[in-house]
Amino acid sequence: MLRTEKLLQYFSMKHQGYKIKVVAVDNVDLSLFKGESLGLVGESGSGKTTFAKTILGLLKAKGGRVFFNEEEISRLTWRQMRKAREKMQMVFQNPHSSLNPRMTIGTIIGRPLRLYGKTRGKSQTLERVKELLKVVGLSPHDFTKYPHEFSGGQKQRIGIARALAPDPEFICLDEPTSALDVSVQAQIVNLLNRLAREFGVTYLFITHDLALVGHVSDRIAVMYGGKVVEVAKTRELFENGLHPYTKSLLAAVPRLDPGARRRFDDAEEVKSLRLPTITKFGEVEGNLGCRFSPRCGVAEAGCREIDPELVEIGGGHQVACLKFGAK
Amino acid sequence: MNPNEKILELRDLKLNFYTGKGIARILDGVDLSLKRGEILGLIGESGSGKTVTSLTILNLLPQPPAIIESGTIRFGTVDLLKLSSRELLKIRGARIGMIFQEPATALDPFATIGGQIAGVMSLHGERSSIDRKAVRRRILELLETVDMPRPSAMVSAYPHELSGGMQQRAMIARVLACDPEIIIADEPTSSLDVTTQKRLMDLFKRLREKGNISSCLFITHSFGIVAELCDTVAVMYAGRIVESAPVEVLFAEAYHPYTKALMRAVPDINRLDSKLEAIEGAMPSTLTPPSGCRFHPRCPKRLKRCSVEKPGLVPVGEDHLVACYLYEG
Repeated sequence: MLRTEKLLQYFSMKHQGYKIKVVAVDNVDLSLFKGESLGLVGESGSGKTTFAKTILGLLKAKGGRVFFNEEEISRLTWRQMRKAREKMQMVFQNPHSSLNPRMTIGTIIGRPLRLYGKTRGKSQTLERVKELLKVVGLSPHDFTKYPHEFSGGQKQRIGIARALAPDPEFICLDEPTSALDVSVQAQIVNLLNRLAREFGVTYLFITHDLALVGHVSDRIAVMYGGKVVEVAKTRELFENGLHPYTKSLLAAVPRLDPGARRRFDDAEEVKSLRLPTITKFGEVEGNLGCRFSPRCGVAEAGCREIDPELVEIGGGHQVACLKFGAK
Repeated sequence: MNPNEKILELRDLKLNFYTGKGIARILDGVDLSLKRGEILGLIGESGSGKTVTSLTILNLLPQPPAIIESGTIRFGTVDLLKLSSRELLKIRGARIGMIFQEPATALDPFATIGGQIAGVMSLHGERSSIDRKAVRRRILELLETVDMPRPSAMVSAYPHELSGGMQQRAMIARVLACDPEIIIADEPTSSLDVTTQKRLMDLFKRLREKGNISSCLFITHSFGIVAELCDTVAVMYAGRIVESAPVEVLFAEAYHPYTKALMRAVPDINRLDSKLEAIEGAMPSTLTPPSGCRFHPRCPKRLKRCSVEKPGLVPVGEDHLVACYLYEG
């Protein structure tokens, strides 16, 4: 349903008198299939949010293309994008700042309905708003309330209701639960899973929380330094994650079982994780090879020269690492 | 020295915030004890009062608007709440140290890392500030202890030049400088990436094994961290401790309905197939808290008593305390 081809996004900045380009999304090829939930996992700075904003057209891509239902949307004008937006929606990370505080939630949810001609007239719109509130587990009588009258978890539900209003085929959720407590997070996750089953929506679920993504996604893509380094079905990734970065992410997730309390000499890649070269500004110097090589415990000579491509190794499992056949 | 000796004990601590909207009853009778040499995990969601508890121990909350209404905080033989500010100054940093969640704001942006550590040392008379060489040696030693890369370069670095993980290491080095008896760590890894978090957790474990850290109150919202690092755990909800037990005991069988519900709501990598169980409702308001047990409106097992009176912590096993009428008499 959604496909990117060599998607490139960078930001030009001035740094100490020099003009530099910070590449946030580095020639990314990623596909999303209809009806699936794809988890996009990465730590801060990996480029995942920038990627999401670029595919949705909130940022104009500097290179590469984005296809939605095989139609290229990356070259569309803002106006033309509007039509595409009906089918592609987004839920943001911070529930407290993504709702207009000066509108009632009836208006917030009603707007997209009117905009995309889903309903005509006040009463029809109101009916649909009430339905949507029920769908996300809120009281239909709350439509007169303002965002500040709700808790974080409820606000996030409103954001989801707003995203559902135009009957989208695709919803991108950028860290939708990081600002929420664990108990509320579970409510939202269950809601999303239910909606996926009932309405057949396709999700792109962005998060840094590996354990969470395991509960919501069918497939997972791991991002590091602006590149996708591994893609696999969820089970497969957890049981058979191959990329050294994936392995270190998996090893880093604290386990709930104290019986399995690990000593600090762990999986090989984690133990020998070398700290990145510290420049004056604590940033890793860019290199021509694999982005992860400065930190990789099993890097070889070739790794610093060649930037590995994503290679399919079977069953939809792709890895970008010289050790697994990338060139 | 009794190995089971309690080095820090909070008894029935009550604290309110006096706000424009009314009185927010943040701490509603906190009972907590830390044994010598133990790492106690204080776990709770945001709004539970865990950070306020830690700040109250060292009297870091401005009073007003925060007012400690009642209770005691016993440290050794003294009640910290009865000390003068001058006496507290001698304890803060020197005998009870604290590391915070956001290293970028807890470190002085105007001082170099070396300068900050030296500052703490001279404040508590740890080393004579005239003996520069000894101070520098000690600073380097501390930076090496916390696995800081290129320690000699870091001595003259400013906090903003460091990554989050490195800033946190600097903060740990600073807190270790005076060799405090207790370290309070308030979510020290929450603002960090998960791989950095892992490295820092490994550091904590190593410091523990080497003896740099002995008694520690570790505040977190993550059961995973508790499982990996802590000896005992206390679960906090809406200003009260609802359950406390040794870690293995709690994970084997939690008693309090909130603890159970919380553990089932946490996504666990080892249980990907099980559904996340949500807890209905939301955290209660501190301005108009529920009567009786503050969890009762959300509790699937509530009894009539629960809305009338607050249950106290009662033992249900060795070192295992629960505040719930399901287990009382």
